[in-house]
Amino acid sequence: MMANHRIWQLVRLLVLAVLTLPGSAMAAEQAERALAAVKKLIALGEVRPDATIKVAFKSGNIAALLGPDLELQKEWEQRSGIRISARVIPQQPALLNLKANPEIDLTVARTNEFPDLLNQHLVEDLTPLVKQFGFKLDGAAPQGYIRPHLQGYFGDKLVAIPADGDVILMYLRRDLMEDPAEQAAFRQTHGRELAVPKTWHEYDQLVSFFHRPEKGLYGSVEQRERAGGWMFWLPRYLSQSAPYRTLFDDKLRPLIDSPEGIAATESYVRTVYHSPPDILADGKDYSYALPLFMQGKAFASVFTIAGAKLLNSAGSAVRGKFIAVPIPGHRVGERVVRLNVPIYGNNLVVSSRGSQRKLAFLLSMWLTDPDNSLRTVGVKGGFTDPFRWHHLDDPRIRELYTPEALAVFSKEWAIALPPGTGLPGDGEYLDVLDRHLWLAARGEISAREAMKRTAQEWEKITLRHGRDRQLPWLKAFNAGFAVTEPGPGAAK
Amino acid sequence: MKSPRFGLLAQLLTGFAAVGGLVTILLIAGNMMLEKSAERLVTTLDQHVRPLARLQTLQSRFGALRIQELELGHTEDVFALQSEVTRLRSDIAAMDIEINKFSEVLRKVAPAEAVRLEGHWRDYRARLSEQTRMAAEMNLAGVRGITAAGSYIPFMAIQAVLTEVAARTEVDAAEAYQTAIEEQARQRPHFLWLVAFGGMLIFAGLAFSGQTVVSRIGALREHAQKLAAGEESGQIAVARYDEIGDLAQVFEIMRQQVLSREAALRGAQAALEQRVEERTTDLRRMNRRLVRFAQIVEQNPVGIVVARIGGTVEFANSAYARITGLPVEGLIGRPLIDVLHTADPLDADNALQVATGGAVWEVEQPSRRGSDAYWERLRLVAVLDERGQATHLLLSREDITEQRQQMEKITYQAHYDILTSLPNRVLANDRLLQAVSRSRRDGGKVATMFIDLDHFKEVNDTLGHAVGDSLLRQVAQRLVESVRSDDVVARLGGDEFLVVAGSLDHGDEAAAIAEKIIAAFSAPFVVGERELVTSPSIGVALYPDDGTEPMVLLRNADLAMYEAKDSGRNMYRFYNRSIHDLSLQRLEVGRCLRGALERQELHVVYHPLVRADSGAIVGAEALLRWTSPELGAVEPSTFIPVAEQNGLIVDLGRWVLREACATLARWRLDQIGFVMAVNVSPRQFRSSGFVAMVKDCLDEFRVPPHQLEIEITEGLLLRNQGEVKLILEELHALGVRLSMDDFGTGYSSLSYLREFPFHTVKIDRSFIHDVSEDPNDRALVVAAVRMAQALGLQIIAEGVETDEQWSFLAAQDCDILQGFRFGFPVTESNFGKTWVNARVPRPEGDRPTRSMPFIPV
Repeated sequence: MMANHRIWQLVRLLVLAVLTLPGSAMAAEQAERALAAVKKLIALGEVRPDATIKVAFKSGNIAALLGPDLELQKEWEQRSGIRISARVIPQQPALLNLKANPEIDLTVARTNEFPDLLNQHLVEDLTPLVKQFGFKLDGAAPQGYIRPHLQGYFGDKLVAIPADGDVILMYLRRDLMEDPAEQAAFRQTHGRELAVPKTWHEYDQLVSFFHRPEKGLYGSVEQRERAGGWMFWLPRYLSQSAPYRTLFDDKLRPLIDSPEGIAATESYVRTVYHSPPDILADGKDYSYALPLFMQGKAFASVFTIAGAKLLNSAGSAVRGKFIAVPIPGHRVGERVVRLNVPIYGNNLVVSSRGSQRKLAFLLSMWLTDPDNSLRTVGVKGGFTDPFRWHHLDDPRIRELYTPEALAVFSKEWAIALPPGTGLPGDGEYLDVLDRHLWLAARGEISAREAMKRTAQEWEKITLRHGRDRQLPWLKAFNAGFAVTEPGPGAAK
Repeated sequence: MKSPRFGLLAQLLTGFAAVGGLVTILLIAGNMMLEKSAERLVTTLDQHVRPLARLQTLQSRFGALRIQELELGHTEDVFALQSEVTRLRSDIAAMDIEINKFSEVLRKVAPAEAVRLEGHWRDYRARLSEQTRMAAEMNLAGVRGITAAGSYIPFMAIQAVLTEVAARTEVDAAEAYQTAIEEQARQRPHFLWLVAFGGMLIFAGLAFSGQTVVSRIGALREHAQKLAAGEESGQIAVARYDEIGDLAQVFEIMRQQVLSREAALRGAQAALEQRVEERTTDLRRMNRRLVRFAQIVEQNPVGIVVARIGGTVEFANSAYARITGLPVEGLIGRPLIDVLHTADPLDADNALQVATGGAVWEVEQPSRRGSDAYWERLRLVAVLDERGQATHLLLSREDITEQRQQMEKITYQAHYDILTSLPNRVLANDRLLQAVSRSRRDGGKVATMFIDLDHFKEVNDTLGHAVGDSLLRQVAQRLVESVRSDDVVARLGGDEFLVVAGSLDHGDEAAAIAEKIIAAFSAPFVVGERELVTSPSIGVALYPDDGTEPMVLLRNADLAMYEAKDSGRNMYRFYNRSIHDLSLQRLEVGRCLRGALERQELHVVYHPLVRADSGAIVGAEALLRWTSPELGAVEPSTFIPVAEQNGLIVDLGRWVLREACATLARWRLDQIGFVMAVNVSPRQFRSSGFVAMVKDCLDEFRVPPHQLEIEITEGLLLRNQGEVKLILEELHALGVRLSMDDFGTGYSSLSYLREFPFHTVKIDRSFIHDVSEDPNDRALVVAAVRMAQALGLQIIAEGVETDEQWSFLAAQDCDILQGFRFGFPVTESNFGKTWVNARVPRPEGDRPTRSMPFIPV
């Protein structure tokens, strides 16, 4: 009996080994390989059959990641035998959530948070796990991840599995743009045709032109609350120079206290004049801004591709009346420099203090499998936006987001750069920037002063962390700017 | 009169029908009561309990819907709002269906409340739909406004209707339940009485029927028991004509038959018991024989296994287990072929076929018992039954290790020399035959080397056999070490050894081996505290050059060995034709020599001895001559060795001595000191009674002893010097003169001259021949003369042929000369005529004249 049991165990292990061989090509290969790896771990005794993965997502993310009615969770538990214990964590930086909840195995983090998480050893370097289990985060495969290096890596370490593709798009009112009367009026006012803005300057003209609060129409409903202001400032700053403008020089001295930084800040502040009065109030985030645009009360807004999903929903007053366009840039010499950054994105990170790190990693691979991910991205009202190239071709997703918006979304990844500062203490740096942007937007200080103060405080933060210790991080971060990754063309 | 037949089956069916009918009545009555009771309970459940439960569910779901409505207006994230709207719409639709179902039921019992409920739900549903629309448009303020004012009133109205209906339903349900319980209590005693009565009727009927059947069967059993016990039971009465009655009738017939058969059986039993007793006695006797045979087999030292032909082992004795080391239990039940254990597995099948066919299969083979090796003899025969049919096979296995060892020992002793462990003559011949056969097949030469140790006899004679044996063992060892590993070294006997060296390309290789053997003997052999020196004389015969048959090769090697001996020993000689011819000649000479004395073919001649200084005759040397009718005049150098070899020399020597003494007596020359020299061969010298014979001869012919000079050669002194010395001393005691002949040719040793009582030394002719030209010879002769003079010995120079030689020897003060210068040996009569009282004139000066005649004195 024992001999038979051992033989069967051996056969099972061999089958699992074959299934987990790198390069094995199968339908739903990634998901099946993840499940096979789980069974192998159980068979080898590395994981108890009754183990539980503790996942923690922000409000609304649980259904978005585990599927409507938690169908993906049920399927995972049924097929792997490993239970998922899901819980909701506050809308705050992943750094705080992971520190406060050491029992978490899997959670989400934004791309700019990686340096802090790595520096404090709160998340696992997934590079060895990818190698051990034979996965490949290929951006070029037909069903590959979108910009996996940009979204998942910091330096040469794989920090997260991309699970939500968020680059910034600009949304404009098509009905107004195409209105001949409006076109004529604009031409008369600005001496040029009413057209999609190529530069932030042109954008300012447009929002100024359409700002008619007395008629219930605001020029812009870009977020301007204090938290997260850097996300809407950074594209304006990066595009100040060609090929891009960095936040620090090679010695980690801030470069924002410069004409370019001031110009970016002035561009950021200018929309406030054409926005609703309480746009600067605390809590007036996208849940405030997007409904206004959706209700037809604004001409323009800036948000991720998720905005298209919302604006195209059944209750939207602007359904069929809006367009998603590329984010504007700055004219540098004879050319327009346009640059984008991923924001908000939910990337799956494995807590280094969790007890089921391997299982958490395998769950991440299973959830982001080409087939499984279609079940979360294609959900109405869900949070998860396309993060694999083939998502863009799925009929349901195209209907949900509109093919036009997805086309723009696809191209914008080509000019996307790493977000944030890339330094340990990124949260501190950005919080200082947010605060001063907010003060400038409120008119309490000038753009020059905002940048000056920000630069001074950044220097203090740098000194506190130690310049020498920060410099390698900056070098690694800057190296990410030069990484070339396949675009959608490679996926076809 | 016979009563009508009413069978047992009919009786049982009638009884069962009655009981069944009664039970059916009871069941119908009880079922009617239970159905009525169940109907009442179902009515209560349907009319009151289920609506109450549904009401509670409905109230709960309405509460949940209200909570969801309230949460919708407070959703913080616009992206979460979409899913909330979807969920709320789904729940509204589900509630609509639920309300319709409930209202349908409610309309039957409380139509007014049903109408109110439906109206309020329509109002509430409209409010909720408005809220979902607003939420989809992101108008959360509008949603919250409806929640606070618009939807509250219909929601509360619905809750009020549901609460009223619930309260009323609860009261009705309690009343209905109580009624049902009371009715059930009233029915229960009636049902119990009915059941009790029916039960008593069934019990009474079954008891009566059972008793009747049991008593009749009991009567039958009583008769049967008596019949079985052999008692008289009387005739069986038949009470009724049913199956039991039939059984009684049949039983009565059977009883009659049993009684008659019983009487017959008793007679047969007595006869059977008698036969059983006889058979038992036979079996006991057979059993005792079997036990005895079993003991014999068991005690037999030969291992025995018995197996059925084509079957398995049925018996194995303990000897078998002891010989094979296998337990008896492990053998029983195994196929015979598995326990045969033949050295070659193919033999096992053959053995079974042979034995099964009636023949005896037997083999001796090596085997193993665990780690022990042993020899065994297997014998397999068929065992016949009383009809002569082979039914079993008997395998006997005998440990013959000791027999084999004895046989091997005998074989070894038959083929090997015990002393040296070398192959003996038998095996040597066999090996030689093999080598010749191999060479005949493969080409190449075979060297047969006959080796004889020089002077071994002296060792044996002087130091004893123990020393001789030890020397032989060492000689054997050196021989083995001297030859190639494939060569054969054998001891033929005594001090004779044989080496067979095959696969030779050329005779030179045999020479190399022979030289190596000679070299191996150069170092002395150490026996005890003694160092012994011996040397080999080797005769070599080659196949196919010197013979193609082993015996010829051996013979020729033997001849060659003698050639080596004759050539001076410690050397080897290849066999050649001349040796063969010489051998044949020797044989012929030996053959002719026998009886030559009787046939008077022999005669003695005398060679003069003269003084060197004066030329006066001082004596003669008696020399034997033989003229054979077949061979003509035979040289002494030819027939003397043959006579020495075949022992004739003793008779010849005796005859010569007698002839010389007789001659001397006839010449009567004692007054001038004439000396008669007689050669004595070693064999004659050592022959028993030689001294006595000399004395007898002297006495017989009255010859003064000092006129007789016995000449012996140096070689005689080499062996058994003690014996030689003793004889010499005895001769010396007789007064006989003793002379050492052929001095300088052999092992000339000063010690011999000093140790032994010689009177004269004779310098060999080979030194004299070139004494005029060869300074070495001259020096040697001078030294010999000086040495003899120093020892007080007379010296004779042999072979003097010229005056120069005479002059030189005379100048060196040599005493006596002998040689052709003075004449040839002549017969007694001629000698008497020519030499007696004669003198040979000395040469003038230092150069005597060669042709100068002897001048008789």
